[in-house]
Amino acid sequence: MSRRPGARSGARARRLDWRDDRGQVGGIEVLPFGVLVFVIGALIVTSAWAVVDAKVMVDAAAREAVRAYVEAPNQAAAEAAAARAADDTVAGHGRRADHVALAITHDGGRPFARCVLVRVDARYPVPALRLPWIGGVAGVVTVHAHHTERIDPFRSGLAGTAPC
Amino acid sequence: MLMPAAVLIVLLLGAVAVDLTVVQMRQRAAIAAAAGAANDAVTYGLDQSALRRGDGYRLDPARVDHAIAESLDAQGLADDLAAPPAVSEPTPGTVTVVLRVRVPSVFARALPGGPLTTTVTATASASVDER
Repeated sequence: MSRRPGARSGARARRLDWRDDRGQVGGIEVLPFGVLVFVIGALIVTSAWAVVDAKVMVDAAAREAVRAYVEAPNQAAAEAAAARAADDTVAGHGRRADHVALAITHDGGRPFARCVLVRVDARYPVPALRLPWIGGVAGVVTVHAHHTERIDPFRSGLAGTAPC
Repeated sequence: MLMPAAVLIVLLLGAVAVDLTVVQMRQRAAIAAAAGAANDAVTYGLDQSALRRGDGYRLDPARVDHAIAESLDAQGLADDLAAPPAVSEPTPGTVTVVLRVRVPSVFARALPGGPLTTTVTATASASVDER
């Protein structure tokens, strides 16, 4: 069995040449783009879910606000009760209650009274893209929901008669 | 070869998730609308003349239907109903409203044979508390 003289020492002496492309897989340069697509896709999904989550929350806030509103004895108490109900709902969902905006309208612009249809619009701003440690970037998406109910025509605690 | 297939799969799963989310959100909105309509119906629907005659609390079907129609219209659902609202009075003083609402597909309609709409059902009841 013969042995080439110096073969072992030659392998030992070979150094890694970073410019050498032997062993490179064809198309390897697209892998970073693929990873980037997945990263961007994950960010889009996360942002979309944040909007869906906010929509669920703001929907509940509008519903609770209008329920509290129509059960109140007068306009001032109704507005306070609606705001409190919306704030509690938003806080209960783990969001900032001071960011929710309510708009309350009566059907036909009528004053607070029996039979009046009340509509509550709730709005909540959500960052379009939220990054870890950085926070919201790329603008704001405002999530909106509304709910409508009628002030009970026949319940006690309200002044006046039911015109409906 | 695998990477485009993987991206396509992710896109398809994302599209399915979006469609299902839209359906679920719409169903939640329909349940809330049904609850509001039932609540309006059980109060506005009181038959006042029967009450004043001494016959107790009774519902006037015409007023119940009017209250439900007005409530659904105010909530922007009237045009999305797949069928007229089913209203029943399972017990005296209780109104149950069943809504069948069409939800248009976002991505599924782009697929051959994919559904254009999905119909969801929402049921809610309200009862009056006499004091």
